[in-house]
Amino acid sequence: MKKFFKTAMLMTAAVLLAFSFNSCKKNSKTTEPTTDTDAVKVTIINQFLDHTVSPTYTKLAFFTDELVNDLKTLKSDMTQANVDKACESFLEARKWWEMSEAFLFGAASDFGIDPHIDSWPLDEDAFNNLMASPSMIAALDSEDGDVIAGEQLGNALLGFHGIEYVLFRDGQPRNVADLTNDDMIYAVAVSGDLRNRCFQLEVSWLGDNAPASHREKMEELEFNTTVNGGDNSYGDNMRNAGKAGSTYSTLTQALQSIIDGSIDISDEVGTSKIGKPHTGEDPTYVESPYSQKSIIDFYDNITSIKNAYMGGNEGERDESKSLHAYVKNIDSQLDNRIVEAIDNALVKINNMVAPFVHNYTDPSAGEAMEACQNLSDVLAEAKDAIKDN
Amino acid sequence: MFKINRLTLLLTVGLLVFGMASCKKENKTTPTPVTPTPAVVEGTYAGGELGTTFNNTQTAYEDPTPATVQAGMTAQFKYGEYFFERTYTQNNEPFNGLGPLYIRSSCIACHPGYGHGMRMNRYRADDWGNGYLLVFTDRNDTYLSSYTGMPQTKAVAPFKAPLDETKIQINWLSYTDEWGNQFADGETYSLTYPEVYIPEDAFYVPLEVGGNPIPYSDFVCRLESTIGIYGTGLIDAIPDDSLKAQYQKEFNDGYMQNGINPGMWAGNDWAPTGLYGNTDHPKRYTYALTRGPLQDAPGANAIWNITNVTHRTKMGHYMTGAYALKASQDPDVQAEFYNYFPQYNLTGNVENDIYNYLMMNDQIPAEMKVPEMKDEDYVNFMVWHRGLAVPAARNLDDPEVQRGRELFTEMGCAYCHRPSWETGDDVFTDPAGFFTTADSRLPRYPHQKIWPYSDYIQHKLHMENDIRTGWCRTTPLWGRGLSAICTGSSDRLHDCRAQTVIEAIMWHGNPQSDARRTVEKFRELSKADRDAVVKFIEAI
Repeated sequence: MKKFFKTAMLMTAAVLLAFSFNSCKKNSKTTEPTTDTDAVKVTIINQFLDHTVSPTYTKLAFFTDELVNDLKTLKSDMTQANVDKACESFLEARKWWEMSEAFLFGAASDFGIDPHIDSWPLDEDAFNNLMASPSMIAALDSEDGDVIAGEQLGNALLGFHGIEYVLFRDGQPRNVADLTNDDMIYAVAVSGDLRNRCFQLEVSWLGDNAPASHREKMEELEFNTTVNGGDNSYGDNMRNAGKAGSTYSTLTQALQSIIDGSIDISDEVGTSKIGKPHTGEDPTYVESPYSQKSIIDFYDNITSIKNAYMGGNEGERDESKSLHAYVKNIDSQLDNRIVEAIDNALVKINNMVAPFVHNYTDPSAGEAMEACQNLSDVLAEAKDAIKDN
Repeated sequence: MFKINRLTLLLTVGLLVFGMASCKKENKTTPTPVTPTPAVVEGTYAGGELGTTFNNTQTAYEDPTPATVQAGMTAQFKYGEYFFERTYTQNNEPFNGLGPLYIRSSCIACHPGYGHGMRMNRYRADDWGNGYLLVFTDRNDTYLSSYTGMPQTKAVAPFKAPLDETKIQINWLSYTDEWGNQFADGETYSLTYPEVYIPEDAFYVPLEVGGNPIPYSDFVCRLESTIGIYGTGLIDAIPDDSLKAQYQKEFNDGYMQNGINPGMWAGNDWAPTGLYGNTDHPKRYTYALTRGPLQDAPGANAIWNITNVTHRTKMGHYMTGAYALKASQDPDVQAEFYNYFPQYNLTGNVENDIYNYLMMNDQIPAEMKVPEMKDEDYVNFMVWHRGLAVPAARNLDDPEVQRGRELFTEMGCAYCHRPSWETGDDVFTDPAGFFTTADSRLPRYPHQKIWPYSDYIQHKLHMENDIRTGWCRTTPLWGRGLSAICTGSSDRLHDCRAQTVIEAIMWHGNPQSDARRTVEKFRELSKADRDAVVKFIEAI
């Protein structure tokens, strides 16, 4: 690839020369003018799907399943050790969710999974009303409690932050003595719904490569896992970009979508997750206030951008098959700025004074906010830069 | 980067010219016409230069317009966006105020990806993508007075929903048109439409029209889906006079076999009911053409009546007296009301207190009527609403798309799906009185050529189980080709009965439809030409 992509101009020149001369001989039909370019784009897309999306959603599905099991164990055996174990699984699942937020497009958006499992703040009034309703608690305690939770509780009582509210206070695992059986009924049901939705993400992107048991669960729940109700998984839809049946009309559009997903989350971390509390626009807008893991959430969000841009998750990254390499060949200075902006955002978030819920006015939060906003801006330049290539 | 792109472009053009020129020398008998492609094909800037985004990925419906950015309103736009996207609750500020009854707990719940609602097999307020609103009437198309115009199926404790949504059934039925759902060359298409059944025991509030009970057998329910929100600010900038001229032209042309809705147009001028409220502005929004200027149009209204979150100009609850009466006399509600709303124990008479609270009437002291949404947040919301860009049209230089464009006009589609409009000075108004005329806090779109593909006039298609009254405003087509990537579905028409462009076109084909002749022409096209029309519609 590097050999081919010395510069964008050379590439364009070579392709067009080949095209125009060939057109003289064979009436423009024999040579696909962008074949090599397309092959590079396909390689990047495959790397993104197989080494960023796939491992992330596989881990997310695994740890949310683990969380359900740990909460069931805790419910039947209320010990502090079991509380701590459930908290560990929660944080691990949370980490993989936050590391997926650079690709909230596709299934997470189309099926409304993001607001379903990650709305905050929790509606504490509605939570208290729920706890005061014996009929709803009984329903959640049934075999189909996960389905009932998913259908009836509404986004403000579902997802990570509801479970977080049960398991954590002031940044620490709850004291087991403070947990009630009703709390656990709720947590088990909501974690079951969370797992179901994370299976849906996994199956939607991985298609037949997702574990059979997870695919069967989707069939049992009658959850849609294909694009527009058709035959394509979200992974296949992206792999087939530019071909009939894909919602991506071109391979470039698919690459732009990957960058767009990164822009969205860096903008959200900067403007919203950090920015709204820090600027005073909305001090209640603090994610993960009960576990006090907001800063870790932010860091994992930017890591998801790094994984999407640099060619895979840590441990299975191949930078030669990445947007990083692609942009570098078009505009090496721009790529340098993006890589620096990613690293700068990670450093500035790491430097934030913890916990965020008590320190959102600290200047370190402002610096992190600016770093994320800068990252959005340079990524937007990259999206524009690749549009004609 | 800009420099490199420019250079690449120059190199590209140079090489193409060089390559083509070399062909010409060798092959003089079949010269290749060198028609310089215009830099931008007309119609590409769907929202004009001030209202178009060239984003064509999953966020294409979500961008601010250049006018918004240029006015320095990007931050307000982003803050306003939260009020569209976030889930409302009763007490968590600033997204507080949900209930006592509500239709959805967020705006985006009805507008997935900011676009058109999705086809549903059941009605649940919390099902993602369910953009359906229930339409309750009697058999004369008169709205029920005991239910809100957009009926609510959710309530906060201790209240009960006016209707048990779990008992609503949406049945999709097959329809076969006079051509057997088949083109002459054998290509087939599917036509399905929804019928809604709600058992009598699902209703908490009695069925009434004009305050009088109606028999259950006279009850009718239909579905109306949301459409996309992008570009609605640009529609507001179309001058009233231009709309009036369009009505006059269509009325004088007399092409519509169903005529022009007399409720909107009186022959040479607006019908009294064609103007919005007490204003002299014509109605231009919603299928039923119920709304005028954007500042008091569906979005501005919905932030209140979908969630029942009050703000300064909409302080009452979206509520009927029939519901308030029923709830106030319900022993279950009476038993719990003071536990949930102790501050409304104003008289000690629980029935009266419930009724007064629900109706937010004069019995509630003025100091208790505090807006749940702050003015500043509402301004930001309206910056976002008025500031949403339209995606640029795509591939208009593609020969197949150009062929489709030609046919779209030739067949007469473009008569109702009027391609373009010129905006005026955009001296907008607010009938609700919150914003001043041409308020500087909101973005404006003066003198833009925009391409929405709608005449903003109602026509009749005479579809099976049709929309209420049969009159339906021509839906803008701009941006719809990106629906699958932006929203996850590309369902069309007022109740999502069409899942493809072909299905949508063929639902226009009833013998009594205003579009009948155009559909006949469409049927006469070759498969390649039909595909070209579809490709054009997907491109705009």
